[in-house]
Amino acid sequence: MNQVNTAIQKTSYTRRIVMPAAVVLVVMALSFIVYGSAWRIDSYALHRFVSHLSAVVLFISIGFGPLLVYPVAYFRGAGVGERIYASLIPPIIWLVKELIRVSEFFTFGETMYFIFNPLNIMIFIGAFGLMALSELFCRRSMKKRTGKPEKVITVLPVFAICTAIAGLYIFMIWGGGVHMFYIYMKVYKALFI
Amino acid sequence: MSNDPLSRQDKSVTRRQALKTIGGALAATALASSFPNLLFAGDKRPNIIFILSDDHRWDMLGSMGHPFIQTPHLDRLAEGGVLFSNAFVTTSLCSPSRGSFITGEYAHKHGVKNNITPWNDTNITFLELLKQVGYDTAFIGKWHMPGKLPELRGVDEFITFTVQGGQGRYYNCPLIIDGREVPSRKPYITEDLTDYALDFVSQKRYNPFCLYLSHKAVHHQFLPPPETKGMYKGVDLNLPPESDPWITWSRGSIWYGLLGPMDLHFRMYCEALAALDQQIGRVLDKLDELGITDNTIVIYAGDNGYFWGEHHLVDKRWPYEESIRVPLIVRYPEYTRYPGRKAGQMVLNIDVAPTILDMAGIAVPSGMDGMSIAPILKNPDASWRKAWLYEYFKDYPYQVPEMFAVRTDRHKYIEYQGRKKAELFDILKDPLEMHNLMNTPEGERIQPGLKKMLEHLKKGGQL
Repeated sequence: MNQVNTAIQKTSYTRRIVMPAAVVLVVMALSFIVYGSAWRIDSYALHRFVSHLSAVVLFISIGFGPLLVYPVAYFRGAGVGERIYASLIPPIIWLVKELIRVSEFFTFGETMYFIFNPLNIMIFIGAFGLMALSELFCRRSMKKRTGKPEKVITVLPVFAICTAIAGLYIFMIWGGGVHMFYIYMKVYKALFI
Repeated sequence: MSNDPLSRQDKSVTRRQALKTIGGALAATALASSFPNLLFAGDKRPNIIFILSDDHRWDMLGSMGHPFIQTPHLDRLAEGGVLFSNAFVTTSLCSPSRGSFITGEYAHKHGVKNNITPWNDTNITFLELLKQVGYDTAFIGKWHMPGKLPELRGVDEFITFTVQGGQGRYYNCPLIIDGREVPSRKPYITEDLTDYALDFVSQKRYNPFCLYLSHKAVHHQFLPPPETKGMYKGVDLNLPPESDPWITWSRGSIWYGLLGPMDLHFRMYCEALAALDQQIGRVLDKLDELGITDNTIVIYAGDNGYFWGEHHLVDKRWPYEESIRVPLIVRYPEYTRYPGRKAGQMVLNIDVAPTILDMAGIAVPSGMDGMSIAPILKNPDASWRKAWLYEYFKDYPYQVPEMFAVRTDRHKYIEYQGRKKAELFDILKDPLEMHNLMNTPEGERIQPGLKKMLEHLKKGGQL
């Protein structure tokens, strides 16, 4: 992935890193709170509507946040490392929240092993795939804007996208996700039982 | 003795007569050793069929007044027997509950505490005890107890599956028959297992038989066969007001594997249940055809209940009614007074093994935690237990705390490990368990007594 394009003016750390990640985090937090409270709405129809809306937004903010964070960071002058870092902030915070939640039920070791469950792995592999997709989009956009003959498609983003697609198949589609779950549990038994 | 006319007769027997007598005695001995139950012709033991389904909760039955679910064959079974409308499992999870059904013991005793801790081969099953008195026995279907597949003592035919961690597959599920994997004979597992069950029941035999038919249905992934697929399309699912289609994704529920909206899964669940009911109908028809209905005990039960949005939950494990109550029907025409009735006594999964042994005329081992429910079949007003223990143990990676609870006719008191606070419900006033009485004046009055009961039950006491 190329470094920050010289045609883009580098903005402040807050504008290029904190703000894009914060937007996703705020959306995530709000949708989480709204979804968690929606069942208290007396009207069943309204309850279902609010549940649907907040759940879809929450799901998108967890799974597809990099599609917003990465391009915004790119066009605000963030370097490749910064773009990746900014894009990973929302899923990492979500993961930390989940770890705190599950620590109620599991030992410290089990809680740490929970990090490597297929869903979390999929979230992070998916995040890299979405970052790569965003990178290609941003390059193409910059190429159009500046007219410079830069390569849009390079090996690394294509590899990341392919890995994400393969991950999606292996973790979620292959046997409906059941096969990977049983592998994960086999390792769990070997480690903890 | 010398004056006995028979003795005098003995003295006058010819050699030919003596040989005939000896030959006859030898033949009788050989016959008796082959068919021991013939020695006790007056003590004819009943055949036994125990059918266990998966995740079938208590109210999903036509005979329980469900608004749209049709279960004509289970209803027929209930009409000929007793439907226990207050039946519970002591642990609402597949493997521990299955362990409790087959041993008559709590999970903390038989050792299968969750879906991970292995089956202990020293456990005694009711099949083993039936075999000892001459029963032909078969275990057909879902074993799903963790650990290596056991060599079940006292089981003549052991047909099961191990794919998907022992959960099996709805379609084309390979079976393990006597230790060897064979492809399915029928594509849909409920029908395939029923075929094997009918083969076993139809065998010519002199001994009574016990069939343990353990279905995968209606466990997740709730796949119905083509003949029932879509039968509830367009039906108002009547889901609870606190539910929504995304519950399957929230609060760790995604681990239950219900990807997609809950409404869709519930509809499929109902359709898979209809298929299960049809297959149970085939078993009942076979008994009628063979003319053995009157001397065959048929017991149907579910291994645990299931949430469909109640308490904003899916799956089971939690100690609320939707999860811990199961359907339980017992039909034994020769034994039952007033068939077709409902019994309200609190009966448990651990009661099934002692009941089967009791009705087969076998002494119930003192180690079993359950009680025979046979007295309730004979007497609707039979006095019964006042309270019982519910227990749930950690089952990684599912996010449900360990817990113990006591359930009485009226109340439920639950203590959780971890951060979740204790709960107390008045089941009569609040059947949906929406109002926790802890920290209320009523709760403070009731809780000490229930806590005392809980501690007593945890120590192995009975109430």
